[in-house]
Order: sequence, then structure tokens, then C-alpha cells
Amino acid sequence: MNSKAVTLIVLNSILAFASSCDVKATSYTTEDDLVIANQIGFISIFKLKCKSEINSIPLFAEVNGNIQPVFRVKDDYQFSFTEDKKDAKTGSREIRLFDEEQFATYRKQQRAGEIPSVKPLATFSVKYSGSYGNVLFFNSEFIVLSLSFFVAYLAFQNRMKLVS
Amino acid sequence: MVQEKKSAMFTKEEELLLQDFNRNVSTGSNMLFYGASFITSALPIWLYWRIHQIELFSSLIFFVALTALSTYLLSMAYRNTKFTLKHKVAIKREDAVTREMTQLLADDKMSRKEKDERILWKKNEVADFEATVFSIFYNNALFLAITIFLSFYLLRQISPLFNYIITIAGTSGLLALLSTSKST
Repeated sequence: MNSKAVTLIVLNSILAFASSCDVKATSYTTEDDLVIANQIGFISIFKLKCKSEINSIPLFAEVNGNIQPVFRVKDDYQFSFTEDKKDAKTGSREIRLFDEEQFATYRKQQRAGEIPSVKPLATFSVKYSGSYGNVLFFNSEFIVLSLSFFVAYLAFQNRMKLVS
Repeated sequence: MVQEKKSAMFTKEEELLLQDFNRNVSTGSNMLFYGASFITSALPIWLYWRIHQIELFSSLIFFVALTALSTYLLSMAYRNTKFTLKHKVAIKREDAVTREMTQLLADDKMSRKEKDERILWKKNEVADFEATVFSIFYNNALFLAITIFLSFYLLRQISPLFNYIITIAGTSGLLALLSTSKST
């Protein structure tokens, strides 16, 4: 068996594995950026179900061009990342999952200066629908402060009228 | 005995005048002041619990202590402001109250002195009510404006618990201090 044939078999097995994996994810994104000043956090907890019954393999996830290991928490996988508040746009982020072999290929392509074209094991998306303090042009505390200062000004003016 | 002697020394009119200039407030007014100051002092708890996300039960001791301190200081501010304003309000409303009471008592057969006493009593009542209400409004408006400014802008970067302590103690202390001013 020559090396090309081996490569083809490996690729085929990867493709078969990829098409047979299913991801069931729940995600959280920062809802209130008054608490975390400059970052928006994305956390996904997911289960991976593959037909090959290999459900606890080490995984790597790629998002926005960065690839990182995925952590195992009991029976689930957990993946988290952050984005700068000023750069975080609303919408979906696609997270691509790779196994160890795919990760090695991905890195190899990266080191060779190529754009990685490895087909992922599975993909899922995290939806970011904006956070409090990032949606309105005037945030609500500014509106409340303006109103309360206006009422305080009226109170002060009336007091001045009374004591004059 | 001493009190009886003292009260016997003043006429009704003099007692009303003394009441007009007295810093002490009635039990009813006191209860109103403590009730209003408690509600105003307790309101920021919601703000810090829901918005600044302080754990309610683990910080309960701070919430209780600061609310009690703020209630005391705010009610002091209400009392002092009321005392400062009451006489000014009485002067402003004097003519209107006298006119109204004179019209009301025009048909009553009573001595001039008794009519004057009634007018004075009414004037005192109107001034007391208006000064009480305005004092609560004025201090609440300043308290909430300063609290929002401190908690969301000036002390935004420090931890929520310290933010709460400094904001509530600082604001109520400042209002109590300002209320002791004699110039306004």
C-alpha cells in the first residue's frame, strides 16, 4: 500500500467520522457589560454524540481564527472565549471542533503559512444578541441620572424660592 | 408641676408661637419622617442587589446596618430642613391663610383674640404640612440623584460592596450635614 492510498483512507475515515457527529450545545454570553468592563464572554457547554461511539475524545475548538483545547466537565465539554467589548458585534460565531489528528493537520498547515482547510469534526454556533450597556446610544443609567438631576434641580430651585 | 407652672405662664397664642419656632416635631411627623427615610434608604438595596449583583444574604448585615444609619441621618436631614423652611413657608402663606380664615370665620361670633388664635393655628398647620412635604421631597430628590451619580459613575470601578457602603453612608451623611446649614 503506498502513502497516497494510506492518506486517502485516513481522509475518508475522517470525513465519515465528521459527518456522523452531532453537537448539542447550550451557550451563555455576557448580558450585562457593567459587570465586566471591557470584555464580552462566551461560554458553551456541549455534548458530542458520534455514531462511532467515541464520545470522549480530546477536542480542539476554533473560533475567529484562534484554536484552543476544549475542556471536559464530567460528561460534557466546555469551551469559552472572550472578545473585546468594542469589537464584539451582535450575531452568531461559528465554533469548529477538531479531534487530535485534525488539530495536528491544522497546525501543520498553519506552520506552512497556509490558510488551514481542515474539515472540522463538527460545528455549532453561539449567538450573541448584544449586552446591556452596549445596545443603546444613551445607556439607561445616564437617562436615570439626568432625570434625577432634573428633579433635584427643581427641588433646589423651589427651596431657593421659599427661602428668598 | 414645673411643666404645669410653665404652661400656665404662657397664653395660647404664645404657645402656638413657640410651637412655630420649635425644632422638635410631633410624634406623627417623626413617624412620617422615619417611614419615608426608611423607604428611601432601603431603595438602593434593590439597585445593588439586581444591578451591581451583590449577594443579598451574605451581605445582609451591611444592608441592614447601612439602611439603619441612612434612615437615622435622612430623618435628621428632614427634621432640620423642615425647621429651616417652616417659618419661611409661614411668612409666604400668611396673607392667603389670613384671608381665607377671615372669610370662613366672618359669620362666627367670637372675640377678635380667638379669631387671631385660630388664624395663627391654621397658619402653623399649613406651614407645618407644606414644610414637612417639601422637606421629604427635597432630601429624597438629592439623595437619589447623588446615590445614582456615585454608584454608577464616580465609584463604578470599585467593588460593589464598598461602592454601596461609601455611597449610602456618604450621601446620607452629606445631606444631614447640609441640613444643619443656617444660611439657607
